[in-house]
Amino acid sequence: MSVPAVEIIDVHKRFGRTTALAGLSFDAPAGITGLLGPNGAGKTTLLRMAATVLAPDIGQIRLLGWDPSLSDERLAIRRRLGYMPQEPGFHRSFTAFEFVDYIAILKEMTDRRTRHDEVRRVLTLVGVDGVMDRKIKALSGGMRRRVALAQALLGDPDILVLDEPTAGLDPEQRLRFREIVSERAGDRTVLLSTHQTEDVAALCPRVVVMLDGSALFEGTPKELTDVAAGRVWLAPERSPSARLSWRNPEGAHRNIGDAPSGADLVAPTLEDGYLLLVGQRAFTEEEVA
Amino acid sequence: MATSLRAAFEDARASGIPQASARPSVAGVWALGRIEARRMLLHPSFLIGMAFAIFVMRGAFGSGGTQMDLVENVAWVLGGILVGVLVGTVLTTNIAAMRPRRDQTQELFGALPAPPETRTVGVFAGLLLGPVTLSIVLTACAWWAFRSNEDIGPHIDLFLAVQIPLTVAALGAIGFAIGRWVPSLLGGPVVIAAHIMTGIFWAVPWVLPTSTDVDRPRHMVYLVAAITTWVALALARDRRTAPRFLIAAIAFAVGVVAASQQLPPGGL
Repeated sequence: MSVPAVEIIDVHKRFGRTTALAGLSFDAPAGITGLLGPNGAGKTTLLRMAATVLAPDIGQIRLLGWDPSLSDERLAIRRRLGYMPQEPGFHRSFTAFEFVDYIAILKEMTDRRTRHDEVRRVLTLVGVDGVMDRKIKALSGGMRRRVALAQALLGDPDILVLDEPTAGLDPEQRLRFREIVSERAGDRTVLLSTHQTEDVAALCPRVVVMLDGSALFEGTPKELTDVAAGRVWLAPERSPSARLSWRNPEGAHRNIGDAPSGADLVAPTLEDGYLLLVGQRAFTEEEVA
Repeated sequence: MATSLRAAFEDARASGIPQASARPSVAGVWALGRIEARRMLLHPSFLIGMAFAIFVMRGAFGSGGTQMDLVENVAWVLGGILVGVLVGTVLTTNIAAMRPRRDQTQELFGALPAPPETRTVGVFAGLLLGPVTLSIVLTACAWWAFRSNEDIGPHIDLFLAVQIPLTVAALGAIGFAIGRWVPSLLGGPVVIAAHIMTGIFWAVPWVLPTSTDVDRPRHMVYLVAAITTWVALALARDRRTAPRFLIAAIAFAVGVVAASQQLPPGGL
């Protein structure tokens, strides 16, 4: 049996008095693993660790079988890693081509012709080849995120760490993003953090739901959807037993929670499962408080 | 205040990024150097500096002054031409040093295999390929143009010609090192102003005319020591190791001794 590309073993991380990760453990095999969770759940902290820019206080992370706390192994990991931070910085006075070229040099691509071919390839892949000679400060937010994705794809890395890559993208760009990432995934490992449950449902064979620095759920999107099986129903009004409820475009209330007998049950979505899971913990904490 | 605190926090976070153990590759450094050189030469502050130098040259060599004025005031003319280039170099390297912090790319760069020294040495390579090379070319052109002029020709020799690119390199290194250690766009201008206002500029000149009675080898040692000091300090910002601070300290000491001994008793 092969070793999972990403192993997170009882990882803890604190920033001052704030606990970002509290004993998180899970494995991410080849393919796309989606990370879902509310703000402050610890997703970005985890991805920064997976990108080797942050070390855990306690616990261990292994990437491609290597330990990033050892400098030689960290270097080996970085040579096989593509990282798109949540807020990727850009040298705004550079053109898109110059910036990705600059990153390519720092990724040890030193042969000029090969490097330029690779830069053009990734910029074309993300659809910014038409504006590659335009300065980054003149690009829209969506275009900049595509440039950030392009630099992460340089060299076809074995591990791709993407922190909210679809934030700020329009629907068409998101579909293009799905196409690119799903094509790249194959036998590679992609860690994808997002607030978009549709992206997880469309892309990820595996999903981890995080809350308060630990994994609340680990499984397939179908299993997450099944959390809400028999717990989503339509009613003319908000049901008293509903944990969450909103009026849909048809005017009916879509209720999520413990369905009363005889309720008009509907097929749940992945978002229902996620909301129920995260909402349940939140409600429980509220009740305790 | 809030901005300084945020900068300090971001710096602390960036310095907490576990660094790559690889040594900067020569090919990578020169590849970055080419990019940095182009950016420096085309940066507005460098172009303005060059424009100022051309303006002074026009005044000195054009119809505005006689040849005797030029010979008598060779130090002023030389300084006037150089100041634009030097100020432009200090400002461009200073801005290059602050670019990752200003553009918040430290986290992204931290996940890449190249160590931070690659970028630092890459900027110095850019300094060599850009402003320093340009200063060598301009000096060579001036030397060639005036070599047969019996009034000006004697004022230009190898001593003068070597000082100019060394001075450009030294001030570029200062601009870069200041930018690495002082997270403010005011760092470069303050260094330039302090250099002039405190009299260092006059007490230990960077470029000395051929006619001065200065100890030439010691002046060259002073220039090389200044470059070494600031390059070591810039590298010490990437990785705070004892050897880097030690090299900076030794080079600084050598520079101070060479500077104090280069001038003849009683000054120039």
